[in-house]
Amino acid sequence: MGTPSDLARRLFHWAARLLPFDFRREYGREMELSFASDLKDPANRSDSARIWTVSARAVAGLAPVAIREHLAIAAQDVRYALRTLAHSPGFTATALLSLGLGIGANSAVFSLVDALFFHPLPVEDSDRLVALHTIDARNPGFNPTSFPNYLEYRDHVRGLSGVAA
Amino acid sequence: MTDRAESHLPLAPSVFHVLLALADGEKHGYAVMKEIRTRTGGAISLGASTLYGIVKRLVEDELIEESSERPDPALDDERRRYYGLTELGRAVAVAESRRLEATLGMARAKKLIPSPRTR
Repeated sequence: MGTPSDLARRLFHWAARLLPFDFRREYGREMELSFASDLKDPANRSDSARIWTVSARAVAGLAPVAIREHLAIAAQDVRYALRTLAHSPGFTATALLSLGLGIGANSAVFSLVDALFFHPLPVEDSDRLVALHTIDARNPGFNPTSFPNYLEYRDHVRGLSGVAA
Repeated sequence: MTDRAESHLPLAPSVFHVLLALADGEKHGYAVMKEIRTRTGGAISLGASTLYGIVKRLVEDELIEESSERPDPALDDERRRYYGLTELGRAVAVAESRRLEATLGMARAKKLIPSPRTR
């Protein structure tokens, strides 16, 4: 366990990792030196509460600087990307088309999955629902049911609690 | 130069104080922090991170530059980097001082504060 100054320096060193790498490479060492000098200031050294005040101010000051620096880097990246895209219209069109198709296909699949699995049909006991098809030896497979047959099922089949088309 | 200097106005108070601290010579970051704290009686007290955020922007805007010359070896701390005002930085500090002076003049005209003669 170190002195309050040692702990404060360690805390500041770790908190400084919020800053972008380039900022730390350029100013990190100087910043930590200034922070350490601030802690050694005779006005701060005698009182550990004051040391923590200096530390809190320094650490709290990191957040806005870190946010501003990260946003500046993001803005720089976006500007670079836009410039690059503007110089290659063919590539830009292909990229936009691919993105559009990809996003569209994903949305369609997710909508379908959502409707099928997460929103049950608006009927009572939807897990007991069945579909009726007509089988015909001349047309193999499941065939649509005619309207007269539908009326027949609806009015006379006892095994179903109801029939809808 | 004037137009270029005025394009930086108005300055944030902490930025103006950093330029003021460097107006009478090159200093390292901690000396700037201390001078601002002493000169403002602690009203403006920049933490190390805030100061170097400002230093980075001022270097990018070419208002200050890192000094290649070292001060008197007896006063020098080799580990530290010293910063000084550029010509543009000095012009910006002057322009901001004039802007503040004009604002003070308006406050005096409205009798919000006494003029220096009547004090």
